[in-house]
Amino acid sequence: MYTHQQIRFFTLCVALSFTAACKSKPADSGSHKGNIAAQAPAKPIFEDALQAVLNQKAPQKADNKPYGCSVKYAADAPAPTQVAQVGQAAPDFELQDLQGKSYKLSELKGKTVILEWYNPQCPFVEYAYNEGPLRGRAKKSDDKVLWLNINSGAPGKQGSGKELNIKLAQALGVTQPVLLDESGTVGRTYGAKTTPQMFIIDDKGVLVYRGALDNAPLGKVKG
Amino acid sequence: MYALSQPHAGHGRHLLFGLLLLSACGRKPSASPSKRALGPKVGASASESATKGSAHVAVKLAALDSDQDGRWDQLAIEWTIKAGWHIYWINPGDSGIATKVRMQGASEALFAPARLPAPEHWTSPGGIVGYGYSGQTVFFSQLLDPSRPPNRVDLKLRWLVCKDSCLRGSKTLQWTAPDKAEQWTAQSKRAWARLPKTSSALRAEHHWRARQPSGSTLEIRAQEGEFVEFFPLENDAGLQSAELDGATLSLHYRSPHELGEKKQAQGIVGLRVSSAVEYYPVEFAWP
Repeated sequence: MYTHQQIRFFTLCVALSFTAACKSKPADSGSHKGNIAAQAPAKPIFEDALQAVLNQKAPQKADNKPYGCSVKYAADAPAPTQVAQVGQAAPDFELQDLQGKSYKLSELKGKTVILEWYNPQCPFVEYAYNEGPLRGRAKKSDDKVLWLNINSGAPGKQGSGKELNIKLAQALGVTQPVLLDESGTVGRTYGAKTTPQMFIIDDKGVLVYRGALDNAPLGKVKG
Repeated sequence: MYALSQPHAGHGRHLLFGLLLLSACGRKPSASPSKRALGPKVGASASESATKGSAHVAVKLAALDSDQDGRWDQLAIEWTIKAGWHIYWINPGDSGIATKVRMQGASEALFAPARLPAPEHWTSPGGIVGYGYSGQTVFFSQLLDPSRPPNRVDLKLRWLVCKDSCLRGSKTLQWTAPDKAEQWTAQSKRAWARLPKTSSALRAEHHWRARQPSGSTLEIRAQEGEFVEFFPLENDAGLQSAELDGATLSLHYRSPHELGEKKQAQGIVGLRVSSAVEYYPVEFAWP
């Protein structure tokens, strides 16, 4: 038979990761996620990075782990000949958007370029645009900043195809260009692994950020 | 992310590994669940008040007795995942999101957090590593006071299930618990057998050493057996690579001053002794 206090202690002890903390009296509280009534606010990691870049500063955590769906690459795509590295010149590419307009990175110097890896049917992307941090945010391209979405999904994979992307861009309120990279060459070159995954290229053409939108996948703040 | 195995313990085996996150706090489960079931199977039932995205995932609950004392002490959450699809471990890897189990209402105080068998791993095109489960798996949640089993269990499950596409799913269950323990299924036995031991049960020496030009390496040497696979926990610790070489596991991290606060253990390791593979948390103080 356990007393109520024993059960509480037990529950707390269990919540402290692994065994070490469990062998002594609980020194702190509230680490049982299930008991947290209100989560901490999300950290706008990407937004902070962008502001730093626009202020000519280096972002913190410039190369961090993103979350999301895997990029739906073709299985037989060749390995990239060049791999992007944070702090180095961003590899050039040229892709077309859904209206057939070409975007060549090397012709965009002087602007801060945001690359958002994108799959309009990925639940993380849907959340980000419908309820999350990209709601309305991605429309703010201006003279200094150009925001480009890149879909590296192979034909037949989730979220792929021009017509589908046109339709879903409207549904999600995506007004920035959506570039199709069906071969996955650009995605692999940049090391894009998830959707959404954010990249920032500064006005000198240097890749200065690669990582997550925030620390809250589907709105749930990670501990 | 790193999903490391020696060649002879490679992907094809798709081993399930137990993640016994918290076992040191609880009653020790018996070494084997392969005992006979106690009593006849009792028809428990569950109602689902809210379900979405369940076309690829089925969930069934069972009340199991892990220590043969005649009382059920484990809530088994049995997952059946549609062929070709997978759900995710607590560290999903490069993509995905952890499968969540959350007791609700009065049940919250009655059960320990779910223990997830550690995952299979896979690598998708583009070198995207994932950790999770396919086919069938079982999570376990320990009933804290088996002498007072609840009549009803409330819980909510959330998952992301992926194949070529990813779908969110969730299910809220109100489950009428049986009076007696139910039969252990083959899948429950398999999952249980692969739950890691306690971290202190890992008989190994370890030390940290600095790397040049920067970084730290945690080197772990087993007193017996050989390491066959390592699953890192998602701890923001900057794991750069891991090497398994027989009885030695080497985990290479970024420079400590770059790491920030590290809250978790390093991961889960599989150790083969004789023909059996056992799993242990790797949990050593950070430098």
